[in-house]
Amino acid sequence: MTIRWALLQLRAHKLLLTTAIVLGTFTVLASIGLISTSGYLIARAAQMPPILDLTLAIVAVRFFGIARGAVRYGERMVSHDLTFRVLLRLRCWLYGKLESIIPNHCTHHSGDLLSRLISDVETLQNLYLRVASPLIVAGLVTCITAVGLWFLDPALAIILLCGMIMCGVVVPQMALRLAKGVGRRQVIARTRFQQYLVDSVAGLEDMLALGIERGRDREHRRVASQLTQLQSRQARISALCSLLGSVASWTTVISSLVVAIPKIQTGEISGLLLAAAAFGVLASFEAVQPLPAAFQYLEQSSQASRRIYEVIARRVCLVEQTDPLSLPEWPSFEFRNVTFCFPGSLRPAVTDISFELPFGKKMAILGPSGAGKSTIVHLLCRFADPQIGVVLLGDRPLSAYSIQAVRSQLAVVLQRPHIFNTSIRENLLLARPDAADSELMDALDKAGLTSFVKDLPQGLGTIAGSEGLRLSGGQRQRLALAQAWLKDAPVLILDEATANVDFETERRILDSVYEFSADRTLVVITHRPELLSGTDAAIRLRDGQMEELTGAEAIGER
Amino acid sequence: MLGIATFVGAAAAILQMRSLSRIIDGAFLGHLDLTQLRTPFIWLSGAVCLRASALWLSELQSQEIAARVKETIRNLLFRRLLDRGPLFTLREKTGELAACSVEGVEKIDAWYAKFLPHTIALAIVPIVLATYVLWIDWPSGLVLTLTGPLILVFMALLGMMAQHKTQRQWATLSRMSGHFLDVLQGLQTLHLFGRSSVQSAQISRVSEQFRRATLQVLSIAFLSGMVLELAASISTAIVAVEIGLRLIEGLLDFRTGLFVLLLTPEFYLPFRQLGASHHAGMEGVAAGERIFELLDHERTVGTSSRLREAFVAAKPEVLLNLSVRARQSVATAACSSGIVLKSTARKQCKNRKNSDEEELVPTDWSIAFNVNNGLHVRFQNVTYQYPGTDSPALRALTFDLYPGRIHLLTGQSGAGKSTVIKLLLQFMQPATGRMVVNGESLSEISPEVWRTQVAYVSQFPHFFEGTVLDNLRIASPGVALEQVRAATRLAEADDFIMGLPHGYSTPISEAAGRFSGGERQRLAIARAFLKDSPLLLFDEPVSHLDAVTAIKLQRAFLRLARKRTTLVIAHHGFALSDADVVLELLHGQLAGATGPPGFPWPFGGQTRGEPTYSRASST
Repeated sequence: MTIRWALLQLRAHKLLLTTAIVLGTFTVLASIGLISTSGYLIARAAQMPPILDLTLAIVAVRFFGIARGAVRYGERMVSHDLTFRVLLRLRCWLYGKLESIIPNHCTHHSGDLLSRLISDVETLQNLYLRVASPLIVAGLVTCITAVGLWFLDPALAIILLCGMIMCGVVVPQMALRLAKGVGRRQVIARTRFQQYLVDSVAGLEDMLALGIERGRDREHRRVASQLTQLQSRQARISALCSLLGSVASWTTVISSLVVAIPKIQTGEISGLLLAAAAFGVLASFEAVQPLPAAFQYLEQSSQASRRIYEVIARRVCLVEQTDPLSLPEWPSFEFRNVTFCFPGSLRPAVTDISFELPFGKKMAILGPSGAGKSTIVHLLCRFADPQIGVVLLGDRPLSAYSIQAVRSQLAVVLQRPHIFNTSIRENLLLARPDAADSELMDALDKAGLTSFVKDLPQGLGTIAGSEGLRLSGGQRQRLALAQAWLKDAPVLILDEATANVDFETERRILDSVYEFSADRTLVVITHRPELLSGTDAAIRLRDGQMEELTGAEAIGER
Repeated sequence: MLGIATFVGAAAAILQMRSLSRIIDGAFLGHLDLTQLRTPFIWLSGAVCLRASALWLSELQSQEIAARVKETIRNLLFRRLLDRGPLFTLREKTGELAACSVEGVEKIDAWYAKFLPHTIALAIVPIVLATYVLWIDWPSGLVLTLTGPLILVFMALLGMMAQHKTQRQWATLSRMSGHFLDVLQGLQTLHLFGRSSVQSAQISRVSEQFRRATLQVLSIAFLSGMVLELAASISTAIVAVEIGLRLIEGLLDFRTGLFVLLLTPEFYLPFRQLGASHHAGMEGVAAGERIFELLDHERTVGTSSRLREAFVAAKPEVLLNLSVRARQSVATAACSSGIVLKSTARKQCKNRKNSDEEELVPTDWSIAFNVNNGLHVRFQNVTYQYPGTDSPALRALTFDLYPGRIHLLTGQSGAGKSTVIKLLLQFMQPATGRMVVNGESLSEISPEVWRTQVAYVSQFPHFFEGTVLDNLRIASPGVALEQVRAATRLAEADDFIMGLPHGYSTPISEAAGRFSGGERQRLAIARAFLKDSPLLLFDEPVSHLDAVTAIKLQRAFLRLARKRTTLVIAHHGFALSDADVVLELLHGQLAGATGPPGFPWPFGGQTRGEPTYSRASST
């Protein structure tokens, strides 16, 4: 059911789709044609006619012989083109849907979710190539051959139809049923195996230091062999399936012969065509060969589309104001009795939070991890609206302004900033597209990255991100700090922004931060007391609730 | 066995086609009825069954081999991880090993389950069929014997031409396909900079580029497929025409002509199958390359031949019993020896072969030293250099660790502090110099035995899947809950464990997110209490703890350190006030040491400079 929308994506490429299907059908028909006309050719030749009588058959044989390869090439090109066009559509469509959803999930296991989404899209892109095309082509080829045989003898056509259904539908479906439980258990076993490995790699030092490696090795062996057993079972089922398929196709050939031979004796069927018919029946089974895989793939595709749908269903609607207010000159924020719960989560991330953040204030948010500190940033940036209470900007709720305008007031350095797969320069230019290289270097200097960037062979042009230079957590954070400086917004928010840098660098960065934020609002999220020296207020969170809000107590922390 | 099944399949194909041509010939030219044709029909049915069974058997077998090789490789990878220890994770990206063992190994599957049987079929079927056709009708046989090798030559030529280009292109392509993931991952950042809506156009632009570039690659890659198809179908056409012409001349009888025509597609089938599975096979080789690289860093033998070796070794097992249980047995051990034959782990491999239950190498070392009076550890001129680096991490380092004392190791990051810990845990051996434990050289003691004497509390201790309780007594199974709680009380961890939703039986996956760095370390301290080893290695937390947590951690640590030999890596001076000895490292050398008056000094009887730290100067 859910797969329908994915199939609908194909509709936009009707011409390509038709071409691909016609070419695909012709590829199979060409090989049926080749072998049947060859059969006819030698049967006719056996009657020793004048050679001229054979000319047509010879031309046909040559035609099919050459056509098959050429058409197949064309079909593969067209269908792959189609696949990539579908991929493009799927991606754009999904991006449009996810744009508002993803920020809400970034705080949770987002890496996992995203890579799953990506692989699901990749599964769906092959929906045509591996599901639609084989099914349609098999149907068309079966019909065309059956019609051809019908003219020879209706009984033969019916036998062919039965054989094709047996081979192309019954056997694959049976295999699918048999493998269903195994498949599910295999997925579980595989996930368990993977988790066990990741756990072991991450805890390698502790594992060896504790001297428990033998036990872990034994357990690994057990988990791996469980997976192997399930895979072997699946393999046995698919072997059985190909055994049955091969028997079914030959049974069809034998039955056609049994039906046809008496009719040759009575003269109902010309003996001349017997070889051609038998060969044709045999060759047409090529069309149903890819069907077992297609059915399997259909199953995977519908699972993939269901998963994508599940994510999309979690959408949070942010209403964009049609007639937004203009921003106040000096942005001051306020949280008033804010309670917020992430979609899909049972426990609110923050409960009844109230505080003021007037322009120019330097505030610290303290508390253990998971206490809801980052949620405050999340709401401040209006990635979501609180369910209860309101976040105010200059006495009006955030929703009274355009989302863009609110975010333009904030320069945020996230705990785990994302660095894109492009040059360091491009990454910095995100924050201020018209910045000159000298400005970029200035920002890098404040973030303590100058010498690092200067030592790179390509300097600012060095590719960073997952495909490029491997940056450490601290370097990423410092790059994000440089971005924040470039953005030059009135409010600077640091979410554990120096958690991964060493002591001395941190000192230098903080000096820059305090200097920079002298005439701005500063919000520091941390659990390190040192960072409090430049702040004049602090709130402490525990389990999403505010514990204290006093300047004096915060000073006591120091 | 796979070969025999393939051969039987080819013979069955001949029988099948022979019966079919007999039936058609009989009905068409001989005007025979069904009863007269009963014999060829029976032969045909028999041949169909025989051929299907041969196919089934060979498929089953190759799958079985694939499964067994995969399992063996997985076990070897895990073993490799244990053997190489943290040095391994230092060099390799940690995620990659898991990816290799799960997905990479699955890719090898295609090599064994498809590519290999198809290669075997190509080596057997065409030769059998061509020989037979040559025998019954040499002109057609000649067409086959000439075109077969020609196809191979063409494919090889095209493959060579295309391969280099496509490989380079694929690398670019995979980078481009990563773009979408990159954008999704950075969506929050894009939102913050107001750039998210621009990205939609960008995505479609990159995807369009991707499409064009890929089609260009494919237009070449598909060429070899086309040549193959063309050659096979044109050759079939040639055979048909040639037979037809000779039939007119009366040089050939219809039955033989029909028979040969039926065998012709069968002759070309293995070529086409191999063409289809070639790509998957190459993918398997690529995955295999990475896996073998992980298994040993020497690359003396090509990947394909290693995969073959593994196959040859796995075969006898499958011969014996098709539905083998996954128990580790002699043949798999042989298989593993096949794989690591040329690897550095040759010695261990020999050991493995001998032990039927493929356990870790059994050790007959006993503890050669007495630990009743505590442990004294001496570093004597220890030098260590990490593989692949320019300069040594430690240079001729000499110092002593005394029982009952707390030793603080300070120095900037990169000074060699963690190298000292790794050497003490025997994750690696010193290049020169030696470590002496109660008079015994450490290299004479097996790492496994030695590590029972060491408790290690790392900066960010890892807890394994299972409950909190499982993790606490992981090194000392069978300890009663009361004892565990005694340990956690000493480690000041009992309170917050009891505060968890299910107390001690809370699954770690549920609890770990709630633990702060300090709590993690207190749990690890409790674990160390239960392990009760005379040497304690403690890595101070880098990040700052709040005052209460810090005090609790310090108290727990001091209780644990009592009467043990303790080495602490200092980051922010957490344990400074409690240290008896402070050792300062600079570029892998001892830059200074301070201790209580009258303390025996191992470094030439002198200390450099005044004591920089002492108990009195605690903050």
